[in-house]
Amino acid sequence: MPDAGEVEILRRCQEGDEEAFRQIVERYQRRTYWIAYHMLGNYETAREISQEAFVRVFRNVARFDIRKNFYTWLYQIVVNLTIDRMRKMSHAKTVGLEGLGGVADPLPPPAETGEKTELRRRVHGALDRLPPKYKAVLTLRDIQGFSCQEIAEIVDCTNATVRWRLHRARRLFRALWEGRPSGSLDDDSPASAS
Amino acid sequence: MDMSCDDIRDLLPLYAGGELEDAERILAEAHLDGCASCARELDLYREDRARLAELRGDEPPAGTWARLQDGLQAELFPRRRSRYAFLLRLAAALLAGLALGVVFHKGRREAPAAPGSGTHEVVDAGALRALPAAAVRVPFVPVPRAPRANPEGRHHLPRVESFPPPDERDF
Repeated sequence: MPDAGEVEILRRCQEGDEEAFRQIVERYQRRTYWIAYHMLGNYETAREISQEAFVRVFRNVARFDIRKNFYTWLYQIVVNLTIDRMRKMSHAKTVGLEGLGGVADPLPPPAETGEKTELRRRVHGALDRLPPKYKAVLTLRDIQGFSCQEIAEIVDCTNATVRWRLHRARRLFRALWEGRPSGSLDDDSPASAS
Repeated sequence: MDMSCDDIRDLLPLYAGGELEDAERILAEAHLDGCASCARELDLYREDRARLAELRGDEPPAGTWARLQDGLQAELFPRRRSRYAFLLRLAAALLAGLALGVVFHKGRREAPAAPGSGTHEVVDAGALRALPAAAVRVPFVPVPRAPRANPEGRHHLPRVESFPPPDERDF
């Protein structure tokens, strides 16, 4: 359940209050940005995705039921936009149009030692090779710390499907980290997936 | 019920993150207590989770938040800025028009009437008795007077007399 303060801010957003919207952006911009970044591995693309997500929120907030958790809705938009972008980038690579949809190579954060930078490159390298749906649940769970139930609401599937994807994602990540053949990396789903 | 290492290894990815159901967790813990190989593999999954969790402390390039907010401002609220500028321009235009109107009107009132123009109104005889009517062109400004009672006790409607404003009297 959302807190009363946020409900009031959202109500003002629904009336087009610019200041209320600014408060929403300040409250959620960091997490929004990092979800997009850790799935895409590019700072500029993550900023574009974040901006697009907040634009969609502002333009559709009048239809949002403020009794529900706002962050679930926001992060659902972010994850969907990010997955769409990942698929475009993947398609661009397939047809030889690399670079048009944004660079997928991770950039090291500023002021870091070489060892940490190399570690981050390896982690992002393994993440980048995961299918989008597995990368999404792994990012939301192991990087952002959401519960399985919250992830289920964000990605709009059952708790069981989230656990199944998490299971697959961690096994694939382990295999990629060790450089072992990981079998099929296709985005297969269990029969019970919604 | 004893589970084989293959069965337990299948549970380890979720055991590492605390996502197992209670029954599965109890079975896994019972096996792990006595199996070093599975315990090592569990540690590897936990290390993977720790590496991913370290990414949480990243900082973006300088100016990221400002650029995000500026981008939102430009995309969602650009009309607010142009509307404000439009109102300023409108106000400036109105003031300029008003100023020009005042100057123009004042200039017309100060200009002397040409002789023989034939423009004259009835004025208070006491004020302009000495002046020929054609010499001065005065604006007509009706000034209502209070009604005066007639000998029979009935009030007439006020007689409106033309009377020039004080600053226009020329005597």
